This record gives sequence, C-alpha cells and structure tokens, in this order.
Amino acid sequence: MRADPQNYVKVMEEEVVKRDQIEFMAQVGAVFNMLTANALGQLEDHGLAREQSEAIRENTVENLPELLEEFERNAVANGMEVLWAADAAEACAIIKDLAVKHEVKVITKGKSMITEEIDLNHYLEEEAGVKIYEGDLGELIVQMRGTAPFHIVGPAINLNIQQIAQTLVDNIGMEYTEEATEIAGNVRDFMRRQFEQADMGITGVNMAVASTGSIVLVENEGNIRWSTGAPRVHVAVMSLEKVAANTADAFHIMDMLSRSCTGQGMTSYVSVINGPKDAGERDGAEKMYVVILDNGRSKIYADEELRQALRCIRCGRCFIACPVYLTVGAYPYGWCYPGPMGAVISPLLLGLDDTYHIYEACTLCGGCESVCPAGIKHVEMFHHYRAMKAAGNETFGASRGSALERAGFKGWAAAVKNPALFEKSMGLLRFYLGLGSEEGQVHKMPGPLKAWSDYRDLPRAEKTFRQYWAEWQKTGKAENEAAAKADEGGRDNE
Amino acid sequence: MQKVSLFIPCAVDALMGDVGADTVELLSSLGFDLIYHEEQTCCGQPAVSAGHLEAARDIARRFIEIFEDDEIIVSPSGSCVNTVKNDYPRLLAGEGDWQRRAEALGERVWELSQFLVDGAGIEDVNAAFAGKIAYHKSCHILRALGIDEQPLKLLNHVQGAEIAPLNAAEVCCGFGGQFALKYPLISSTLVDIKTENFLKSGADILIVSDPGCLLNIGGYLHRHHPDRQAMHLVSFLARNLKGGVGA
Amino acid sequence: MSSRTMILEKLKAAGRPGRINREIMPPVETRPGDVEVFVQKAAAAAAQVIRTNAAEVPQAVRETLTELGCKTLLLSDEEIIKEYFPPAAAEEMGIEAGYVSELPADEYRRSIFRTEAGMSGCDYALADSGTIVIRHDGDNQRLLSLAPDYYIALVKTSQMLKDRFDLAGILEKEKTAAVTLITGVSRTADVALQVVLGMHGPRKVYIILIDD
Repeated sequence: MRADPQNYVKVMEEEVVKRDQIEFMAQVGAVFNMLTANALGQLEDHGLAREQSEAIRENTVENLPELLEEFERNAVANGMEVLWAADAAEACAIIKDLAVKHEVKVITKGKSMITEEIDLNHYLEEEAGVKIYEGDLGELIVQMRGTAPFHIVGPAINLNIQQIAQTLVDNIGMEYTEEATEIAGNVRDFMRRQFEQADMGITGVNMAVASTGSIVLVENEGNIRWSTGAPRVHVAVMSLEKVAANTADAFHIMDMLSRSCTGQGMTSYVSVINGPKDAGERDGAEKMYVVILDNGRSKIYADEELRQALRCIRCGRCFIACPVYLTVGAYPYGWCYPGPMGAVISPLLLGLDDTYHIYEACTLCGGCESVCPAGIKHVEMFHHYRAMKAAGNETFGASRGSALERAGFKGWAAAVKNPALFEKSMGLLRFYLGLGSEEGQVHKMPGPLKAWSDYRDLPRAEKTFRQYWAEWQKTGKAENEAAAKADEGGRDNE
Repeated sequence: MQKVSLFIPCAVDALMGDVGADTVELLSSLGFDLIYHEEQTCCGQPAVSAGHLEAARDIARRFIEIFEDDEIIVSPSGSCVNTVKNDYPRLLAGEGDWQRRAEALGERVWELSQFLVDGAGIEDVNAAFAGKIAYHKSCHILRALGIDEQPLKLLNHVQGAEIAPLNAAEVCCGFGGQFALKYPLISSTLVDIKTENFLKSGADILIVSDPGCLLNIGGYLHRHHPDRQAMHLVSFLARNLKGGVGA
Repeated sequence: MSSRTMILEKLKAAGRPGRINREIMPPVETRPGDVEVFVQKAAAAAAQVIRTNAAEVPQAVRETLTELGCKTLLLSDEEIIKEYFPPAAAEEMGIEAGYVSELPADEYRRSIFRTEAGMSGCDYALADSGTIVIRHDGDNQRLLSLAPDYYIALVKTSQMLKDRFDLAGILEKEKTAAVTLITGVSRTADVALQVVLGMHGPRKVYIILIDD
C-alpha cells in the first residue's frame, strides 16, 4: 500500500478520542497477553527458548549473504527459480512478467506484508489485468475496505462484526448476517471458487531454510495451502532477512512466532515447500519462483547499529505491549507496518523525516522489547533515530533537526554543566511556574509548557532540594513542609 | 555507618524537593550517613532521549567525575539510574577510558528500593499505615532495571498496609519526558487510563517509584481527582515511619 | 550489474564477524512421542481422535463415515488405505469412493472440489503438538486433506515422534516437494475475534489412531 506516515498527527488526533476503540483494544491486549503468556509458559524452558530464538536471528543477521547464497543454491537444485529484486518497482515488474508469461488471469494470495509493502496487488491489477483475491479473511476484508491492516497478523481486529458483515455485503454480495460462522462460511464458499480457478498463487515466506532450499509457511486458515497447492504457478516473495540456517532453526522461530502471536503451540497448518511439484504429484505448482527483495534493507544492513532491525520475525507480539499503539491504533502509522515493529522498520525504509512522529511519539517504555522473541532493542533503535534526526542523516532521509530545539538543548546543557547557572535557571523556572500556581501546584504554564497544564497540574514544592539540604546541614533537621502537611492531615483525621 | 551519596534527580530538586527530603529522612532513619554533592545537576536523560548526543556525553562525563569516588550512590529515580547504568556506557563507547569509568560507576549506582532490599538487606523500614495502597510499576524500574520484587517487599512490610491489585500496573503512565509536551493528547489519554485503573482499585494512595510518573499521575490527580493522591514510594515510607518524621 | 550481484556485494561489504552457527538448536535423535499427549493435543485443536487397534480399523472408519453421513469419498493411494479401507468397503455402505490415482487429471480436479470426504494415512505424527505430517510424494495428494468438507487420517502409534525437532532432523535428509503439518481443524479469528472452526480447510477432521 502507498505509504503516508506524514499524516500521523492528523490521523492520531482523530483516533485518540475514540475511547470505546481504546477500551476494546485494551481488552484485546489483555486477552492476547494471557494467551501468549500461557503458550510461552508451556515451553519446557521459556528463558532458554527465548535465548535460542534471539541467537537464531542474530546468526541470520550476522551471516546474511552467505545464508542467502546457500538458500539459493539449494532452492535452485530443488527446481525453484530464484529472482532478486533491488526494490519494489523491480519486484512488481518481475512478478508482472511472470503473470503475463504464464497467462495468469486469477491470483489467490496468502497474507503477506511484503507484498503490501511493495503495493503488489494494485500494480498487478492495473498492469497485468489480473484479478487478485486475498485468501486470509482479515486481509480480504482490509483489501475490500482499502485501509491499512490494523495489525500485521490480525489485519481486521479493530472492526466489529457489523462492519465486517457490511463489507462483505458490499463486495461479494453476501446476505447480511452477524453470525460469525455464517460470515466465515460465506467467505469460504466465495474463496473456494477463486481457489478453483486460480492460475497463480502468491505467498510470502515465513522462513527460508538455507540448508535445504525450502520455504516454511504457517497459517491457521488454509489459504496458503490452497495458493501453493492448487494453481499451476507459485510465487513466494521474501525480504532479505527471512532466512534461517537449517530446518530446526526455522521450526523454532515458527514455534516462538505462533506462541508469541496467537498463543498457539502450533498453527493449524505448516507447509514446508521445496520446489515445484514432484513427478507423482497432481497438486502443487508446475513452476515455482522465489523473489528475494532488498527494498532498502542492504542499506540498513550496512550500518552495524541499525542492522538489528532486520531480526524481526513478524510475530506482532510487540503491538499489544505498546501503550501508544493501543491508544492511537494502526492508522496514524500510515503504512502496512504499524506498532513498535513499524516504528523500527518504517523510518529506515521510508526515511526519518517522513516518519518523524512514528519514532518520536513513543514514551520509551520498553514494553515492546521486553516481549520481542528476536531480541530487538527497540528503545536503542528509537534513541538512534532521534540522534540521527537531531544531527541530520542523508542516508536515511533526515534533514537536520529543529534549530530551535538544538539551541534549547545547548542552553540547557550549558546550565547543567554549570551548577551556579543551573540553580539560577531553576530559580527562574520556579518563579514563572509560581505565577500560575496555588498551594504548591501549578495550574497554568506558559508557552510550550501549556501542553502540560492544559491537562494536569504540576507539583511545585516550597523548597528545592538544595534549599532543604542546606537547612538539614545546618541544623541536622529541616522543615519538610509537604510531609508536615501530610502529618497534619493525618492528625486531623484521627 | 555506611556512607550513601545522594543522586537527586533534577525534577525532584526543582519541583519535588519534599521527595528528596523524604529520601534524606528515610535513609538517615535507617542509619545511613549521607553525602550530597552540591555540584550535581542532571544526569542528562532529556538529551539522550532527544538524540542530542554531544550534550549528553558532556553531561555524562561531568556526572562520572562528580560521583565516581563514591562507594554507594542512591537515587529515588529508576529512569535516572537507568540513564547512568545503561545509557552512559553506550554513549561513551569508543571513548577510551570513559566507557570503562562509566561501567565501573554504573555498578555502584542504585535505585532506592533496590538499594534497601538488595544492597542493604532491609525490607522492613519500621513503618505503619492503616489503609489500602496500590503500586504502579514504572517502566524504567520494571523493564529497564528489572526491579519488581523490591518495592513490593518494602510495601508488604509496612504494618497495616493492604496492597490492592492494580489493573495494568505495568503499563506506561504516558509521561515519557518530552513526550508529554510533544504529544499531549496521547499522554493525557494514557494518564487518564492509569488514573481510571487506580480509582477502580479502591486504594487510597497510588505508590509511584519514579519522579516522572509522579509528576504526571500526581498532577493529573490533583487537577481531576483532588481527593485522591499519588505518592513516591520513599515519601510513603518516610512519612509513615513509626515514631514520626524526623524521629 | 544484476540486482543479485549488487545486493550480495552490498551485504558482503558490511563488516561482520561471519561464522554460521548450525547448532543453536541441539540436534536430536528421532525420539518417540507420548501417545496420550498426542490425543490430548489433537483433541484440543478440535480434531476428533478415535483410538483403535488394527483389527477394528475398518469398523472405526465405517462408524465415522456413518456419523458424517457423506455420500462421496476420495482415497489416497497409500498402502494403509489399501490394507484397511479400499473403495469396495465404502461402496458396501452406499458411498461412491475411489482412489485418486484412478481419476484422469481433469476429473480429479473436478472431484477434489466436490467430494465430501477425503481419507489418507500420514508419514509421521508429532505428539507434543497433536500434529500429523504428510510428505506428498505421489500417493497422498495435497488437496485431499484440504478441499473436502471432511478429512479422515489413519495414524499408527508407531509413527509417533516427540515433536517438530525430530521432524526437522528427518526433513534435512529426506526431501519431497511439499510436506504439510496438520494440527486439528483450520480456523479463523478474523471475524471480530470470534473463533470459527473450518475456514478454508475441512470442517471436520477425524484421526483414527491405530495402536501398533
């Protein structure tokens, strides 16, 4: 989908006032917190499993070119054709050429964020005149509504049943019903017709296995098995970092992914695909292609500190740990990658200027990194982006940060390094705050501080700590007025 | 008596001097000899968060020079302790000796509850409180520093205090430093949700271990629910010592 | 310069320690699985598990087919099917049945979308997750366990491995174009977070677990 992160503030202001959406997302978060905690708790040794998944991703990132070459060698030996694309345009053109070459009219898809990233569906429909159907129910709904996915694994989790039903009424002529089983049944029947006539299946890749030249795909619904088993051509699209050294590593990542994502020990289906169909097979693709896509990742890779961004396994666990995402939802992020993982990858792919608010509107609470099975240090990454923006960074699309902010920090730092100046500045600040305060609480604050006092008061104790300490030094005791007040309050209550 | 060097956050100094005072009173009531380096100002966290690294490094080096001769440094602020322990070595990586000095200093800097429980083996500060309290888990204390049991141990030993469960205790209150000023709509929504959870808990006081959270939640409560209060952990303990304040 | 060359060159130019660790997950010798655990996990994933022994298999299949009330059945070409439930056994019940291999290509395509039930064996089972594993090497087609409304799997306890890592070891050595791991019934939670079973795969899955 076309990226539009610059509208963050405008969209955020619309979303943040939707309190029932926020309450709903809080409940969703609580449920998934519980499910994932249970599933991870069922592992024999969760701590070890987490160390292993982090090590597997580190191993991939540290050995990426070698693993990709090994994968390619083995995949080609299996009969797959491996194609490399530098960017979105090239990937789209490659896939379009394949569709044309194979006289494709109908395509069914597995849910694939990488194909969203390159806006493949629109391109193919316009340039190759094909009809494309998203097999995953959530992704189908989102495709029909023309919005960004609300979550990378559950794209329609924010929609209520009425919205889902209406979307299907409007797009596939379903008879309106609010029965979940009936809705799913209608989509099942509709998609069966497409699965039956599909000429090409397009999927992502959850993990490519270097040692065997296989790709591993996980799902619950079955649309991936359809898209890889029924059409005569299969195109699998993967970004560079989706490779593991061997099958056990790939399976372990899938284990951590399904537990961290939906709280499942194993998804309903796991497909391990090694190439076009075997001689004795009736089902399966006659021709299989893997498109390996860069689209800005080799640039990330070149930077030792930023490279960890490529560890992401797309489990989506970080979303439900993020207070900001649970409050503003996916739409402000303006792309197919919302939430903390989006805040890690979008700035590096789209540029730090355009995505400014995505990494700035973060409290650095660390909820995301505390649950990341790949061991990404989100807080460190956001620190990096802010520093890159402050100083300016051409490679990653950051013009130098606000001169006013720079000057402000310079002045502040000068005070911090000079205790006498610091004390004076503190006195000045306290004086101004005092103008808007009553009984030790500031009600109105000037200028940029207004953003605080519009919503809350600010404590302003009678004395600074220094003043208190000076008294304590002199007399071994000092008046702690706030404590005294509290004491008095206590005595009054007796 | 063990000498403890006080690391008083700038926000405490400027706005919540009483929290600093409570720190002094609690620690001295427990028998610690206190040092306060008056030339300290700020750990530089705002510069780190905003990406002004040169300023942050200057401030870090100065901080290290001020404190590095102290054996024990204690602060009533998890976020400031995190900056010193976890950010300073990264900031000063590749600056020869400075990284080593930062790491060495980091080993001797303690968040207050961690110092009392893990460092000094004190869980019972001899306090009493008849009422219900709830405990908010500040992000830096819980996740950045891995401190969770220690504050609860201290609170559990307060005679008569009942700890009410707090829904979403570990979720951020929405302060985030400059975040509160730059994204007030999101920040105020988050603190409102935190407040709702506090009110639902039925607790009289919300205990908060980080000054940033206290500014945020305390200020919000004062504006919207002035009959309820948030208190720093150190203030709650110091002001409820058996025998009274300054005993 | 091809994109491939450009990408690989850029990746290699970035300084890295570079030593592939191939033993992050400890290699395992194929370990047997706990049948009780398998039964519990498969049932938790909404598969119906019927335990039986060799002598009772045909009866168990008959009962399942009766319960399903289906009129059409497609069979894989595996030995286990020939042994326990060839087409004649279904025909006896008034069910139209046949092996996949008997159908010419286009008839197979029509049939697979219209048959009510499919039945096959499998190659392995994974106890710890209640999973059955099919290596599609010609006698067990991919869509047979996907397209029909009902799917019946014949699984022998001797095929029971402990978990996916035992399978990983096997897959490193033996390759088929496709291997499918099936755990219970397909599902979606995309309809306002309500779980609906039987999304794009069979609505009902029966596992006839043969003690051998």
